[in-house]
Amino acid sequence: MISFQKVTIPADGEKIEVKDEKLIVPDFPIVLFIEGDGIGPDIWKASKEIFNEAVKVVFSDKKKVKWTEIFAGEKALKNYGEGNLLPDETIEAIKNFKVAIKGPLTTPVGKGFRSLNVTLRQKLDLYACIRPCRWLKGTPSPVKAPEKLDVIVFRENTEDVYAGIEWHYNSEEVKELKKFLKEKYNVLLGPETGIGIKPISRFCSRRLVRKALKYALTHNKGKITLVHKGNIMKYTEGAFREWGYELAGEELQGRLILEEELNAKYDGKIPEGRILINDRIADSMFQQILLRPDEYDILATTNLNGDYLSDACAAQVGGLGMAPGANISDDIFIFEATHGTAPKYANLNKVNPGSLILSGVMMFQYMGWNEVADIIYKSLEDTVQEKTVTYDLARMIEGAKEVSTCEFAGNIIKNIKRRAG
Amino acid sequence: MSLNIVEKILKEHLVHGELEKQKTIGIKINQTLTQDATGTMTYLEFEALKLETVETELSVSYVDHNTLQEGFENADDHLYLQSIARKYGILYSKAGNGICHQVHLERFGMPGKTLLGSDSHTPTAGGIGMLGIGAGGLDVALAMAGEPFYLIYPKIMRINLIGRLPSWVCAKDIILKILQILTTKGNVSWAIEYGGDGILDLDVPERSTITNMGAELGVTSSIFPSDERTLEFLKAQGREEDFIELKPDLGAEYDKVIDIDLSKLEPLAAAPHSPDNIVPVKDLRDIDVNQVCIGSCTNSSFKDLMKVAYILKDRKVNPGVSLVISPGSRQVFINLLKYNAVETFLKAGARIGESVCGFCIGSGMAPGTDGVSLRTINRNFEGRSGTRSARVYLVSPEVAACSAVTGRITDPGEFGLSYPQIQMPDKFFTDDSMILMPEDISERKKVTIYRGPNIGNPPENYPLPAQFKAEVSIKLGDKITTDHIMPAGSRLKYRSNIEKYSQFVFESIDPEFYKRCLKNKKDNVANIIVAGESYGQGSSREHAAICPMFLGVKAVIVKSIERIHAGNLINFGILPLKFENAEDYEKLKKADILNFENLKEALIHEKPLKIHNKTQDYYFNALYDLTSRQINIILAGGMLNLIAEGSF
Repeated sequence: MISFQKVTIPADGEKIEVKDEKLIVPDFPIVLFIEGDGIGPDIWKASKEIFNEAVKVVFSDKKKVKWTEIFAGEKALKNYGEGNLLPDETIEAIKNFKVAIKGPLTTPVGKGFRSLNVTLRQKLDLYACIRPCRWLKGTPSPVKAPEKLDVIVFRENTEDVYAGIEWHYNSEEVKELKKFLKEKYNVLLGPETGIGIKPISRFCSRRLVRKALKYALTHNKGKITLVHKGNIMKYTEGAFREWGYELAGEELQGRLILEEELNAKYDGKIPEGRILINDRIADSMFQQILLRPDEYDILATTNLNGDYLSDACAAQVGGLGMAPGANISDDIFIFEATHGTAPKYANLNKVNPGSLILSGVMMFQYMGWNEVADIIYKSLEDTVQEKTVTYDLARMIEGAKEVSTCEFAGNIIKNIKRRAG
Repeated sequence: MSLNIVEKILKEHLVHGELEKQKTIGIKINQTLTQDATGTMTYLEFEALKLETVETELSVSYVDHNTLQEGFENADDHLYLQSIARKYGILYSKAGNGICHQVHLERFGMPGKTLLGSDSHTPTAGGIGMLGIGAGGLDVALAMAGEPFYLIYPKIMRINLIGRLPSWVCAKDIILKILQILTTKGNVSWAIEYGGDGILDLDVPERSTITNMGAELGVTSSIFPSDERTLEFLKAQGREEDFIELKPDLGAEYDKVIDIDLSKLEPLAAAPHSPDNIVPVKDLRDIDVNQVCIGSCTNSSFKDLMKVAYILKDRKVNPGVSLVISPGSRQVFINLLKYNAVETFLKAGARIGESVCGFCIGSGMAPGTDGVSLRTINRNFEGRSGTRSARVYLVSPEVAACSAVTGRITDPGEFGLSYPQIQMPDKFFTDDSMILMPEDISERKKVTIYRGPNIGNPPENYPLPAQFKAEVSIKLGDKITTDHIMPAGSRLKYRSNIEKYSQFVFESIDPEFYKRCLKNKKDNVANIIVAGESYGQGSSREHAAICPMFLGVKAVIVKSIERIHAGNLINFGILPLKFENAEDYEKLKKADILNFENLKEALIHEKPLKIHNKTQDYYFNALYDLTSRQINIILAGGMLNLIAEGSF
């Protein structure tokens, strides 16, 4: 076992292993957590109590999560000193223990700082961002029938315009690039023009689509949609579409069905054991999730599309306060709140822990502790339906009573106990 | 509509029927191949059709089975085949030019075309994206006459090969794994289409190793797409003009899908005595080996044998082992010479065999008593090696070569060598001078056919009587192979002399069988064969039907029967029947007298046959799965009679 400076590994904890991209979970698994900045400590405290209670009612004391704190953001600075926003030890611990859950992290303002979230993704090659968007009963939503949307967005995490290959309009690099483009390809760019580069590769596109396809296959999801803007950006977004279909053909041929065939031969009903694969141009996709939300299961897309789309889907079922997420590679799984640090509410015991709780639900599902996941989800749903909720939901739900983060968590725990009988 | 590869080829070649699952269809055959063992009968039958030339795009007659020539018979057969080829427009691949499937792949196979061969391993051509089907000689004779080939429109299975093979695991291990999953039973009337990202790591000969042993699964055919690897092979053969791309449409339908994660495979072996008796090689280590045979249409390509050379380089064959290497074709042999592989073989102490089927069909190289023989071939049925007590394991060339050195069954991963990266040459040395072209069409009439004393005529049969008396002449168990029915090996030389060859039917099980049959035949009593599951599995050997016909067998009654053999029985007027109730199999005894009553009427109305067991006095039902066309063939007493009647 590796020795750590500031991380305390529970002596009675057991390591989660990963085989074939699946978690093999012992009875007393070590699960890492990063509290996060701003409101992070508030929501983590609430969530952890809920998680522990749910595990306890399901497994008595036969199984237990061995929470292990690792540090990033401000708490890392405190523990490791100046400049240590993301200590090597944190990365090492994640590589070693595979599963982590984290609160929001602040990205320091100023030149030269990259977002901690992006750094984590790049250092650990967390190439797939997974964002389930499903309406939790009782949550206020801007649409008439939010229950019709139940999708999971698989967003490519490592390339596209987010890869950070871009230069200031006044930089030397831009001057050189403009010269190169003019001389080599007769492409003329106007004055004061910033330049960014959009790389989309076969390798990254394929592994993201593979992840989505595997998910569809193992979770009995019947439809997968490649979302792209390939009509305009043929060699990046268009290529993503092409490679997506290519991969599907190579790995799932025989289990696939195309839209044309589905309508002509099966009257729109997907035959048992097969997966519909189609594609949508991104702008049309945004219309579709509003107009025909129940026609979609899994959306696999490039980074920028995925960024917009996952937030739009989340908004449709009640907003980021209740939207879980995960960033994963083939053997590392980080579950995280999708919202920011909201520093003005820090330590006020006020905000909604829903996003982190639901990320925990997702984590328990990946761990195969489905009963735990279920009881948390249902108890959260009960609590929202009882209309005793945090301020953000209370102001949107008629007749709701505003409660603190702690009280909200306490109500969820009450419901967990009630459900467990 | 999205189509898979098999559907694409069948659709393009459809002449009769509709593309509906499990219905009989007739398809156009572009190419045919024969080998000498089944070829003589095929051409005797073709002669009976009295045509001037073959009507196919290409027909090739190979000599690769009977080349030992212990007497005049084999050589006479070769001359007969050579003269027939000259006369009827057939290409003739002389003895020594190579094993039919390997040579055909190298020189003639074309993606998207159909190939009918009088050899059960004809689906080897599937490696190049060609629909190769094994059939009886008569079917091949008819295909050469331009008639469609009739088959049941198969169910289509997709096997996705996903990921990359670990070191020392190869194509042979993939097909052995599939044999473990699907077994040799229950795959009749299926076709397999391979795909998945893993196929890009397999070149054409490797793909052919996989489609070749589809025969052991009992499927109608196996096929790979035609892609950049196919083009690469055709280029290396100087035949890139024969290339077309052939891939399934995205979203095509299949009746079954199996995924195989290549990264999980390990070296495997088929232990005695069935190709589906699969065991990891590491579980067999420390078994002493007496003989190692590397070759056959399954594993004798250039790359296979270069891997063997890599393992044998600067090493010696274990003193306790006799190692035989037979390159699959003269082309492979010459290319191995150019890369100094043959020198390596000889220095290591290997014996070099001709480029023929040889040990794979029990023609030579019989192991010693209780001998353990490791072979890279496709079948290890009991006794097929020529030694009843021998134990034959089917393995990859890598396992075979490593074991030849250590003297024990050896997992090559434990041999201490790094895995070689052997690439196919950009261009093979090619020389077709041992493939003889037919006579110019205007000159063909002048060619006289050479007939040695051992070339007979196709035996005669009489139309099926409306009712008849019969005796259960033999009662057999499960998995009776065509080797059991009609032994090859040293008996094969009689195959063009039906009267003589018929004496060896069921020789290994009941040497008196033929005598009983001939007596019954004289007394006007029909002979009946009774057997359990998977009767007739193994090869397309037509003699397994012709000789029983000669002996007066009128029906086989079984629990289940293999496709090719059932087709052969029908063609020669023998009824393939299935017990309606499996218990009736138990009840029936050898030497029971049976009465077939109102037979003709039942067949015409497609009703189950009601058979009276006179000895035990009870009735039982037998079922059959025959098209109206096949019923006509049976009633006429076989296809030849039907053709002779002119009603075909």
